[in-house]
Amino acid sequence: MNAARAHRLMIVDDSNIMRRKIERSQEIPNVEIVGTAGNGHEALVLHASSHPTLVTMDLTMPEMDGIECVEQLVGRDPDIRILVISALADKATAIEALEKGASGFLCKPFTERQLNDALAKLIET
Amino acid sequence: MKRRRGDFDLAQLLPVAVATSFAAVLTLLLTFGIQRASQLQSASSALQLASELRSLPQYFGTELTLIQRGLEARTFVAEPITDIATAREGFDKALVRIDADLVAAGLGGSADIQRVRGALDAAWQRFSPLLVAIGRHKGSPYADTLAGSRLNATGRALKADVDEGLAAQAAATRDVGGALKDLAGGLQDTVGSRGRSLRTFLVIGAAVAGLLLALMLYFSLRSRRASADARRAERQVADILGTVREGLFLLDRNLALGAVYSASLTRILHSEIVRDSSFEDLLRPLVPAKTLATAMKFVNLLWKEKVHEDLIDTVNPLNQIEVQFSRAGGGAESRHLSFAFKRVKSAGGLGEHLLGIVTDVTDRVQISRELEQSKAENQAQLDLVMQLLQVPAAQLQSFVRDADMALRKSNAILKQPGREESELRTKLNGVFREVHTVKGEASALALGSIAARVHQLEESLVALRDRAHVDGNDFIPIVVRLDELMSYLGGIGQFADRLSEVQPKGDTMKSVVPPLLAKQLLTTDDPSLEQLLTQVVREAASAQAKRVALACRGLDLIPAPYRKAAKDIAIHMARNAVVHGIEAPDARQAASKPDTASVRVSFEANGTDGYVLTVEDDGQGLPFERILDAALRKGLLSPSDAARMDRSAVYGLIFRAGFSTAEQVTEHAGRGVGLDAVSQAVRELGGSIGIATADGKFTRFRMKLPQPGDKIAATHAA
Repeated sequence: MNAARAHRLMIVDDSNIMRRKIERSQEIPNVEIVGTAGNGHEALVLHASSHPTLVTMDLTMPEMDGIECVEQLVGRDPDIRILVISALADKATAIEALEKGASGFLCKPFTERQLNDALAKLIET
Repeated sequence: MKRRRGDFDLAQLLPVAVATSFAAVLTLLLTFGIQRASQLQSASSALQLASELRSLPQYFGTELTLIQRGLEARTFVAEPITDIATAREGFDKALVRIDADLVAAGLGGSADIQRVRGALDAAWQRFSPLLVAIGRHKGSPYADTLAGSRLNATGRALKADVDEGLAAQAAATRDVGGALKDLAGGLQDTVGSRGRSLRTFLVIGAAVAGLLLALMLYFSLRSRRASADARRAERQVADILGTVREGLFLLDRNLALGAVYSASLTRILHSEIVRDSSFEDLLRPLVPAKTLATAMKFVNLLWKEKVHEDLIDTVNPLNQIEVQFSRAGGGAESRHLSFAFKRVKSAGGLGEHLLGIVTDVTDRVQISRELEQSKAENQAQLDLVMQLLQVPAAQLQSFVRDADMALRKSNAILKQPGREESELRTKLNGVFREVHTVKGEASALALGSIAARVHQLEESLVALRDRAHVDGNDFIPIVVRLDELMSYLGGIGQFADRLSEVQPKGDTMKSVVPPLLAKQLLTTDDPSLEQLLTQVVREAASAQAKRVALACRGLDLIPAPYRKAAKDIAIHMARNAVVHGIEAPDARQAASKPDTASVRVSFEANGTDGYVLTVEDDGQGLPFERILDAALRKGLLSPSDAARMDRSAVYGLIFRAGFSTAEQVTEHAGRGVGLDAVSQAVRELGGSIGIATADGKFTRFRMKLPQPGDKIAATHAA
């Protein structure tokens, strides 16, 4: 990927607190947050308008769940890099999201450092 | 060890390429050599012919002279004529062969040779026709006459031709001989030069062959060294794989196991690795089908280029799994295994293999469990000490004394004769009541740790009671547990004794005791029943998230003989009122009742007949239907009995052993032993229990007790 171009991050989570936490924690230099979405539908609308290259995706959301949203986003942009964020209650669901085209998984709760490490790895993928 | 594919091929190919090119050069050289040799042979042959022909002109001269002399002497001349013809034809044929040899010797195009060859032809063509003419004369050259023999016409013609031949013979000898000499000279040079070049080729060929031999030697040496290196490397890899503690294996894209794996793998998995088996086959006997399916999906994720391997570590379903291995001597052994997977990277991205690493982490898991357990134990110890410190020493001593007595009584009950099923069950219920009372008192004093210990014993009693059949042997573990509990309480008793020595009378550890409670406790060494009830109600209400106010009256009037029994009864009944009588806060709200429920306990004289202990709550009343349901469910009565029973008989059910309507067993209620114990205690005192209740309004229990002196009489009367 072109180093000069910033990575565009979209945050998808139904929890306002979690969205804020990710927004505030994110400190990778060339990552720019292009927007946040509270459910799968909003994520798809936001994707159409702001073309993110990176996504953090909550799995359990109302309206459209994370897995379906991952599938749709990957269908629109095969190069999009998605980090699934969820509590580790069900490994099988996380694996399903990865099978649908997500690139990594971050377990809730996470520290700022864990988030930034995961985003850095997401970029290098 | 790491070598790229391209390098490897080039190193293999180099000796072959060099050997092939050398062999090609050698073949070329030998071909040239053979050609040179055959040219040399042809040139020699031509040279020999030319040398042989040089004598022929002389020979023709001799034969011509023989004919001339013969003609003069009239002798027979046919033989020399034939000889001349034969020799002349031989000369012609020899010339043809020389020409062929010259061409074969590669001299067909040589100007010098052709010039000399042309001169030879010219000289021979001048002489040869004369010889041809001599051969044409047939028949006798003589005619016999009387005067003797003389030449006839043929003889004369022959003589003329012979004379002409002889005249030309000297010139022919000079010209033909000269030309042949020149030709021989030329051929001599050619033979020399061809011979030299043949030698040169052979020398170069020998050198190339030698060089080739040297190269072959070098390459074979090098390949031997390389294969020795490879063997050494193979041994080293084998050493590593044989020594490493982890089970290492490779998986290809079809998740088939590689041929090479570490020796530990079979040890860790307790099975041989079948050739060409898949990872799924390996895993199938170890994990449930669902885990297996998830695991295969997980491993396949590693083949997806888009997935970052570090970012999926946490979803590895094989991160720590518990597996059962059957032991050689029968039985099963439980082990904890941990599987990890790494991509084996190659220059162009994902490689051909995944590296699987399996470790037996049983020890680690056990240590961490033990650590947690000892942490919990330490915490429990600390909790216990904190709880003990909050209770005045005298009160603690009194509790330990009562508890010890109850447990001794339990022991005594167990030792009573009787091994019939019904007798065993009676014993069980008796022990149950005693243990339950101890638990109640521990809870009342907020000694949660002790209450939990007693609760455990109670659990095992419940387990025993719920069995279809009980047997005397089933009681052995109970006896052991009772014993353990007694020594545990003994330890607490010692602690209480020491505490009473260091604690000045009437003083407690102010720092850890809540001020209000401390104030109450400070007033007397042995706390009043009211204080105990206050604690009981507070504990039970906070555990149930209820708000309850307690009102007590006349409790200090209880005569000494009834104090212990009245305490036990009041504690049971007050806790029961909070847990069962008082509704949940939302239910109270829905019924427009005050948020804070009330529980009243009173003791008063009942005229001259004795006393009445009353415990009353403003809760939901006794739930008639639920009592009936619970009694039916527990088999305490049959459906036909149920139909016949009146209301008060149904309420009486709650005093039967093993009855409880609470859905969940907690430390506070739900054992079905509380009212049973109360009823037992009241009966032992010769008293009776009355119930008054109104649905949704209140429940009131009135325990009527006779005058202390009447107890014996009442018991006898019963």
